[in-house]
Amino acid sequence: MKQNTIIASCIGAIAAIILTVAITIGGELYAPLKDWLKTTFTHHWLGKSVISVAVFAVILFITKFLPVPESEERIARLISILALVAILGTFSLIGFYTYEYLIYL
Amino acid sequence: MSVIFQSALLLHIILGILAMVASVTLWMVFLKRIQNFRLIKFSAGATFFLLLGSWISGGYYYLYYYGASVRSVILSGPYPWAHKIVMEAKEHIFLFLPFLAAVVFFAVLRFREGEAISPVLLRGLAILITAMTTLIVLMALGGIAISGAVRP
Repeated sequence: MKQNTIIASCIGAIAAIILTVAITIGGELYAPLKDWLKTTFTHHWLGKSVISVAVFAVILFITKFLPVPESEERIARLISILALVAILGTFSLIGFYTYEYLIYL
Repeated sequence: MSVIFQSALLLHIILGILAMVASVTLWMVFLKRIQNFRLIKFSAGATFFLLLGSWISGGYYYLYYYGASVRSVILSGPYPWAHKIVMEAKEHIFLFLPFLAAVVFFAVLRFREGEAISPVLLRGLAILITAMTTLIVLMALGGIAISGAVRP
């Protein structure tokens, strides 16, 4: 596997996770966004799944062919950023749904 | 519940547990710095493909059965938070996992017997595998909580 592909997959994964968190919280706060996901994809979760895969695939494809400087240190840094984004995304979603539950108790 | 939904739920659980076993194996191999590249590649590939299978089977069950038949039972039962917090968070956090597993799989495919891997890259991968494994365990615990909350 080329270093470029690993770098591209890291960037694609970071973008897919950030977008998933953004449209999830955005859809809860702004009903038309969730409604659009429902009407376009039949279910909001299916919409988020399709969009996250599409974003990952498109960024993977585009970045793979860009002249990105390759180095193991760069890959390691991107991988660490991806881990951090996943952890922050997890805390954001758990925190958001806990807040939503508590304010409507 | 029809046989197809039972099968989808069972498949989701079994594939998820097997993905957890594969991810924990990968995690232990990295923590102990065991240079068994075949085991590393097999565990990383297994984690990725098992998570994909669990995503598809769980997604089918969630889309066509859970929302229509289970959600309302949980919401009217004694533990509505199991849906409102645990399920809502779980169904979206699960979407991160195949991407994390794909990156790990792509990265370890580069490993070659006899070639030195930079310690910086090994540390980065160890952090990512720790995060991925923790999230998979959280998903399993969330599933247990949601199943336990289905009480009319």
